[in-house]
Amino acid sequence: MNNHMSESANSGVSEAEIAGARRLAITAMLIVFTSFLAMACIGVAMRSNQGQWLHLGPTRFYSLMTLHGLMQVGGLFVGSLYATWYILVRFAGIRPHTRMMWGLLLTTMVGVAGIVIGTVVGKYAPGWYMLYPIEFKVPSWPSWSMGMVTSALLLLGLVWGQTMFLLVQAMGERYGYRNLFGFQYFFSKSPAGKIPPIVLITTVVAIAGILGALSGAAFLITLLIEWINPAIHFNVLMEKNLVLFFGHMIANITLYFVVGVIYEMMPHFTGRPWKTTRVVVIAWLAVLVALIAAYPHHLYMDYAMPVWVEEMGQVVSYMSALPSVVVTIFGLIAQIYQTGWKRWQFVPATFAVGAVGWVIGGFAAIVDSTISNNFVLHNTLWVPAHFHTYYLMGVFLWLLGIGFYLVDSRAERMAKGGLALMVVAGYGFLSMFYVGGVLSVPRRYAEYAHTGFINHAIAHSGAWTAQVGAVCAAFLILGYLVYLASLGFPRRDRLAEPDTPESRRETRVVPET
Amino acid sequence: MSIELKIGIAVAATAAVIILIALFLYFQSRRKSPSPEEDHKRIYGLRTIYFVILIVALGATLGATLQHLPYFNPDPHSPAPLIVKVTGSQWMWAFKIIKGPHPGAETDNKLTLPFDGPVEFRVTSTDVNHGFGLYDNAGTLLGQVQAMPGYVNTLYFRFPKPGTYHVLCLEYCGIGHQFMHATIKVTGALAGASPAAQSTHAVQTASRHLEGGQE
Repeated sequence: MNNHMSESANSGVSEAEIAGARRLAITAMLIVFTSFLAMACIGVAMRSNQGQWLHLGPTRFYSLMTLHGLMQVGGLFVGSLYATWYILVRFAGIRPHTRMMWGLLLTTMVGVAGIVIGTVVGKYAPGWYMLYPIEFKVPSWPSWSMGMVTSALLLLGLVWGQTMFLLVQAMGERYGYRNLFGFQYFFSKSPAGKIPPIVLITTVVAIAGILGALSGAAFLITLLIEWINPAIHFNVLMEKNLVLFFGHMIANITLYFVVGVIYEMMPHFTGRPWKTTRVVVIAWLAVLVALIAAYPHHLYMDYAMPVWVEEMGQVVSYMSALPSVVVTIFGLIAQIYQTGWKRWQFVPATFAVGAVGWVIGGFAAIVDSTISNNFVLHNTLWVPAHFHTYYLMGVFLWLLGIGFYLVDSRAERMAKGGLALMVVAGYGFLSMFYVGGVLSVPRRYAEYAHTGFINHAIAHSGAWTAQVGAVCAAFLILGYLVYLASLGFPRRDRLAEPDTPESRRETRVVPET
Repeated sequence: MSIELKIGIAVAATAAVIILIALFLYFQSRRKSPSPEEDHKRIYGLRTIYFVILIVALGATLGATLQHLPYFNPDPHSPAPLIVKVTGSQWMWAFKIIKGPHPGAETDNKLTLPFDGPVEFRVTSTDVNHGFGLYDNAGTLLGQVQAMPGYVNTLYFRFPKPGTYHVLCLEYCGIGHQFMHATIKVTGALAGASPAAQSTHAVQTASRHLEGGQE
């Protein structure tokens, strides 16, 4: 056991509690993985429709687009939340509240059912960040589907807000609330109330997440008020700010939660410390400020917004790169540099490859967060390009690593084969979004044939990029199926006891030569 | 070279650099450091330099790109001789000339304008959010602004040359979103300037739009 462990390990949680928590974490992860598979297939169908290979019709296309967006954003968030919770229980010694976490997962499933029924049966299709007042202004869906999906989303917002609150509460009980933000590191390099990085990061990210959930809940409540009494209307720009603040938060915190997990798990594989220091505390407090203040970059093309807010959006978006790149990515490089691994294990490999996706997606986001670029990139395929990069080739790969670790599979080679295929096909898929963005192809078009009047340029580039994207996505799914198959080989001799990465390190890492 | 192409090249180059660094780290990871503690200190010693380089690069890019924002009249001393009200509705664009050759003229999904200096588009919507995306005839996006009910967003735009331009909706607005388009014909010549001067002036102004002030 290295130094890092001695700092964060805790004997307050029994082996049985950890085993119970692990069962729940595996269940949550398998639900997320199943949902991802279904939604990825819908993604292929959507790109095929844009490429003229399928003819779903706009009503079906846009309801599937809404379902795909809501389920992927929500699914990855649930995966990152439960992964963080388990690692906190296992290595940071927080009280698991397993029964409550089961209840919250089951309630999440109720919300998911509402979304699926509302979009598939009710053909509700306002898009995942539904810009008010589209919910009330499109004749293709019945009123009940709007009420059902909005209520389901409100339920999810409350459940997830409660889950994040629970995490903060459990960490506060274990480490002391006043220590959670790491302020003690400003007064001493080695303060009495030490916290592992995952506790600092989860605190910061959960606070941002709770603010986002409040904003989302306020938005959804206004929708329900107007649904009940159609005579009441709300300010369109206020609603846009509320929903985009929420959307911005959930997309970012999904990623940052898993970053906390990587801070905790990577040292177990490398044997090198990755501790909370003053610099790490400053970086993550900066992340909190940046998360809140960067969201106007979604509103650059709303010229009614005050110009100083837009300018602040760009400045903060640029500065938000600093803590991530200088502290986290640099820390990850320091973890990996000359570790002496003759053969990489699957779990740290997903962390490293996912970090590459995070950096590339982050750079593409910075490009788009430049107001003068946004003028010609906003709502082109550049937007799905950058967020699919850090979701699909970032967060999702990290979750695959965590899922593999949780199941404690022995099928390393199979998983790595699946990962390799996913990465090659995944970047092929993403590159088509980027090329589409550079060629000015609009996003969220059911098909591009109708734009043929523009010298056929958009119709042509929209269709061929979609076709290549669809083929690449199909191969990505194939790689994913190989990965899923690799989860079917758990180490039976060790199932009875909770797995620890450090025990695996002892048994699996090839010793130095 | 259009801004889109520059962006594409920049991202491809960045991705290539990131992948090269990743490969370098991969091969480095296979080596075992003889003195991990020393190496660790050495690596972290580089962090400050890395931080300074990054903050200078970000600051310089910020300074360059924040100079020319699309929110203002690019030529404030010559007020727009043309003012057009644009109203997005599911799923069409309505135009009304407020100031120009035929004040009060209203058309749906098509607009004819003289090539005569910047145009002030006052963009709004009757129902949901739309995106007023201006494309040239080759399918390149030249600029955009959101159309929102209850708000008027003003876009100052100078067409680079006479010709045919298109409007596509750039904010998802329901099942007819992809059908929502209009055509703008820009005719004639800029008054009081020779053809050569017109061309240079128009291209310069257009490049300011396209390149975010990096002319």
